[in-house]
Amino acid sequence: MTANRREFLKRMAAAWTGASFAALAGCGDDQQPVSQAILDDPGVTWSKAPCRFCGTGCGVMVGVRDGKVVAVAGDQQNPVNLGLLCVKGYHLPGILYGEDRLAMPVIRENGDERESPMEEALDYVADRFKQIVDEHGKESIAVYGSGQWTIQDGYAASKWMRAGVGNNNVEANARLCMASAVTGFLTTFGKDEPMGCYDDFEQGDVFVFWGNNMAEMHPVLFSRILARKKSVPAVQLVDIGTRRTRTTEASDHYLEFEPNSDLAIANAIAREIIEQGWVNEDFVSKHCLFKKASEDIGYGLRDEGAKQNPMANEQIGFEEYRRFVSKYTPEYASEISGVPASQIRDLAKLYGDPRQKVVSLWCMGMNQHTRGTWINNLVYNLHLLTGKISQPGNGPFSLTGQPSACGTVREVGTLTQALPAGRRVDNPEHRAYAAKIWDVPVESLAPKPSMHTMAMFRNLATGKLKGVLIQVTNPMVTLPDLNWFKEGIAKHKPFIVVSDVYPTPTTEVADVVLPAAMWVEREGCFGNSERRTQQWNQLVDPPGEALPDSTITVEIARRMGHGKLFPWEGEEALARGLYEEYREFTIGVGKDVALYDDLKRARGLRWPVVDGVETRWRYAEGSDPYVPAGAEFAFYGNHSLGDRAVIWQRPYQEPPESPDDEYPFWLATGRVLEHWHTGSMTRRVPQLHQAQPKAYVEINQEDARTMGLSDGASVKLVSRRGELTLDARVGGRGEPPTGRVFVPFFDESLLANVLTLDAHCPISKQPDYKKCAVRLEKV
Amino acid sequence: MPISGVLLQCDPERIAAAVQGVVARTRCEIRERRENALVVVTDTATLDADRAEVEALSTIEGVLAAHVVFSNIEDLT
Repeated sequence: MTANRREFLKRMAAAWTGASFAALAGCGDDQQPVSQAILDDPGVTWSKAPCRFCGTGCGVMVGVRDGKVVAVAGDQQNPVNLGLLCVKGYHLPGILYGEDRLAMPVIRENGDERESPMEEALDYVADRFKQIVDEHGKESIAVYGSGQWTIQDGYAASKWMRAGVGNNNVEANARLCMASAVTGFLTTFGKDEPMGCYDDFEQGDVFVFWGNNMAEMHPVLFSRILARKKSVPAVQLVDIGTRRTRTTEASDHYLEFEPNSDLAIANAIAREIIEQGWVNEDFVSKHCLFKKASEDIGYGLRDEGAKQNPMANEQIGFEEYRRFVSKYTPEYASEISGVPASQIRDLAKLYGDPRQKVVSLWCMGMNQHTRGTWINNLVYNLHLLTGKISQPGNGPFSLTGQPSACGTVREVGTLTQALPAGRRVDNPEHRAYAAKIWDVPVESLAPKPSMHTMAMFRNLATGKLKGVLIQVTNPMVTLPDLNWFKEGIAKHKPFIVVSDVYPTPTTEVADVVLPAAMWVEREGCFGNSERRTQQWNQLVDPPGEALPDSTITVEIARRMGHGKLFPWEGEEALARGLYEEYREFTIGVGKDVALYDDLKRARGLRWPVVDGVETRWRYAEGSDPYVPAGAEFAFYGNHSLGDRAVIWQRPYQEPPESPDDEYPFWLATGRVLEHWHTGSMTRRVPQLHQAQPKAYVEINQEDARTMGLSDGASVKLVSRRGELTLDARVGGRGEPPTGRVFVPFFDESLLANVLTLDAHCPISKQPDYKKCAVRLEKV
Repeated sequence: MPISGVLLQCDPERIAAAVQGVVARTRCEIRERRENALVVVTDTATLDADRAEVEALSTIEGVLAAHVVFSNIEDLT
């Protein structure tokens, strides 16, 4: 590189970074000239794309030179990140070019392994799936995908299974990360996904993080909140967690609670809101109703007996609800949670004060919970009781961890019970609608949900399910009580096809591995946490014979005789055709996604998009076109309930496993800043790998002292299901209190999930990765 | 040879310490100073060194957060 070019790039780096600061500080009028200067760089071609990693959906400018991605810059025109990127976004080029990137299919048969041309591998896969269906019936094969599927990938897989094969055996790893948010939204509002948007971060007065380490997991959004606090110092940040994190450091208040006791804390806040007269009676009387439901619902364990139907419920009145929460005094909740009653009262006051606009934020801490649906409901209760919802700076906000958990899994509908745009397979009208768009006989669509993710893998491990196509996910790292599943799969040997970008523990158990194109190696769309659908074009070629996941699915489907479902030829036509057909489902049901051509031009648009205009606050008159004039608010997902949201009576209950004399520590698992999920991409980036090369166990300093452990010492964790030896991390970035430990799950060579418990929320079927009992042994 | 633009969000009361910390690093230049932020450009020989600079910047006293906003590695791919 010449000195002149270096200086040019340095000037551009400085100008671009300065403009991002201006945008963050709200004075970004001078962005355009900087953007133009860098786009005019003759050495590099720049195009927009959303980031490949988390659910934030940051906009990235991608620089291509000689057919390779050579530069990235935060997209200042994208309102999500205003030009900022986190450490993962900045290493995006690195994830494309890892040394062991999969480029050719591999077939393993009769103990042999051979590389194969893609055409031959697809023929082989289709033949095997056909043979399985012929022998065992149409329920014998399945697809398991991901919140990293593009919208097109998910739609193709769902259509193939439901309209082609004729079953509902479609699931996605988002079942493991946000299914409780889905069922929380559905049970309270009748429709999925947040009512608010990221604009709330510039409008709120109080931000409450419920078990959410936003500083590390959604760092760009957290920076927007820090910027808000900088401009309005009275803004307050409240961290409610089970261990101290970087979010705690930045917060004004920290409430450290006993695992699972968030249920009691939320009920105590609701009680205070009622007892102190802070209920917004006008809002509640016009827009809410109250319900209670069955409570003996179990924990979804494999050997659990029959329990009550978790969905059985009845309407109650406010007085019954008030009597129910009255026992949750701050003192009672304090006994359960360990949080001082004064802190619970103070937080209730913030929720109750009509002058304070409050945003509640959460992610895995509330969702990966054996009462995940309930705790989502209970936080909604606080916003509904106070009327702090669907307004700028006021609302509950469920964040997602994957780039299209919302856009693909939740909106397209790649969970067993779902049809596109919030429809359900067990609703005859919805099936008829789908059959019409798909041009298939309605009788060919299976009328009942089949297997949620945990059931799907239990069936694979017990030989009931014979074949599966797994795309862009890594269940042999992420399933809880992992050894049980691995042993079952090794014993029963189902036919497993995996398409992915790098070798993983899941490709290791595959009979066929298909190389996939990723991110800007193909065209696609993602949908982020704030209902924003973003589109990008193919910018570089994928390696070897790699193909987009949607193309792989369509090619298998065609070979199995389902080609009529996919009439589009060529990658570009397929991407557009799948999206536009999916879009038909969304029109008129409050989930209207934008036209494909509009998405090509925009930095994403938030649905419902009606007459080309996006929606920032759902359910609010003047913002949401679905709310009738004069209604003020309408929770139209609950139309049969008079467009009212439900305030749920949900009790505190103990978790299925707690520490005892034999296993005296709580274990929570989770993520770290540098690695994304199972690390299959980020561990290929040397700089990220070096920053966090292996999993570890965070231990409180006092516990470490008692056990004679120093930072870096080896310690064995033992649960009722497995054991794992890790390096101790004492006094590091995060610190649990005494009696609790934390292990990140990104490391495929040190699998945290050999320890975790296969228990889940009986409503959402989402496992609880945050709570099980272990003991520590010094090695 | 990577060139990166890094935005440092700083505590306004400790920004002088942050400036001192950045100036002490030979592969970094401060290109712009605001009340609560510094615009820094790094110019390093390898991706490892680039990453190390960013890590080091994020731990300097007075720095609340470090964001890499621009990164060019065209010599390395």
